[in-house]
Amino acid sequence: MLQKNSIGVFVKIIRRLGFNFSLLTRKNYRILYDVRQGGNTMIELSKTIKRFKESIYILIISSIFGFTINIFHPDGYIFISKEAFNYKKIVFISSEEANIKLSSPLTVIIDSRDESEYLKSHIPGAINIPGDPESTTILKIKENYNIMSQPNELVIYCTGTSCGTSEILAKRFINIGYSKHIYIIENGFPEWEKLGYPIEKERAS
Amino acid sequence: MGKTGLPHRKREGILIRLKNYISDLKYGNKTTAAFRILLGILFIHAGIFKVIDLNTFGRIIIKYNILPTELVPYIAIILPVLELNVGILLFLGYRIKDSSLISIILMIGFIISISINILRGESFNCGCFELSRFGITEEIGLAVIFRDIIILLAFAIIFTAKKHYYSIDSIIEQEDLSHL
Repeated sequence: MLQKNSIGVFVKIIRRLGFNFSLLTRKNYRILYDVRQGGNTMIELSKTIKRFKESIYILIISSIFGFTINIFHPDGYIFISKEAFNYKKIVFISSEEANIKLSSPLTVIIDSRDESEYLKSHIPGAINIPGDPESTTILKIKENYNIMSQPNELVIYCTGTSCGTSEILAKRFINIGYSKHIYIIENGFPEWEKLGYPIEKERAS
Repeated sequence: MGKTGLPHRKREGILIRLKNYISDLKYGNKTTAAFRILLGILFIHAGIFKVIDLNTFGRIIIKYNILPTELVPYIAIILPVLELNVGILLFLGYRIKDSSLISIILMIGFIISISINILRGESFNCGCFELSRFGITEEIGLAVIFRDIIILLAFAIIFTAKKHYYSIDSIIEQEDLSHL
């Protein structure tokens, strides 16, 4: 009697932990009995559908556990938007690193400031493609497209960290399909000038 | 005396016994229970090690080159935990039909993926059950497919069996029948 009661309690606990009851409850046992007596095949079909539903519950619970583990896992995946993932191609570099890159003939340097600022002074060999407004940017990119489409490295600069146009321009390049890394001189033209690297001045036209 | 050297009646007896054993197996006997428990342990082992090393498992999924890259992180996160859960359910003998159904679907998926890569001429660790930790090679090939087919058949037997020894489902069934 004690053993039977223990089993009964155990079954109750298992039922409370589970999200569905055993297929062999009193009602379902009668249905199973009918099937064995040559009952309706629709009952068999409903059992199959029920089986798939319960399998999906297991899948859903596994997914919830999986994503929870991923959050706390030291090597877990980080989910970011496709856009944010593409923008990871933007790399910030110092003026010293930019100077090393400029020694390569494959590097194209782009000045994202206004034309007036560019004409005052710029890094030698830099092409002026303002980051704003968008219409000017698109026009300038089209003018210099032959350079963009070659296997070059792009280095962009503006007036420094507060400027923002270099990052805007870099994102525009990525949006139009530029697939390689884009480098931005983090502290911009002021740092370049301060470090005494070569600059070019043009008279205003 | 027959061709095998055994008397005709004895040969028939062995065949009948074999037939009965197979029927018992399909209905559910202690061998079926042993399959269930061993396969449960296998899935638990595979699930645990895949959860611990998520990145490696993700890289293996990429090597198969079947799923779009965007789906790889989701599969790498869900599949190991699914294997672990299914392994625990099989080991304990709870919701055996549901867990064996999921296992059958997983095994069919593994077999198809490995077959596609064999046809492509690829060669890499399949990352199926993390058995390489025990020195058992899991390089994709016909041996791995054969092994997976055997496991698939075992799951099919478990799924179709009506009686499950040493399981929570059988305890629940007995309890329910005693209330009729």
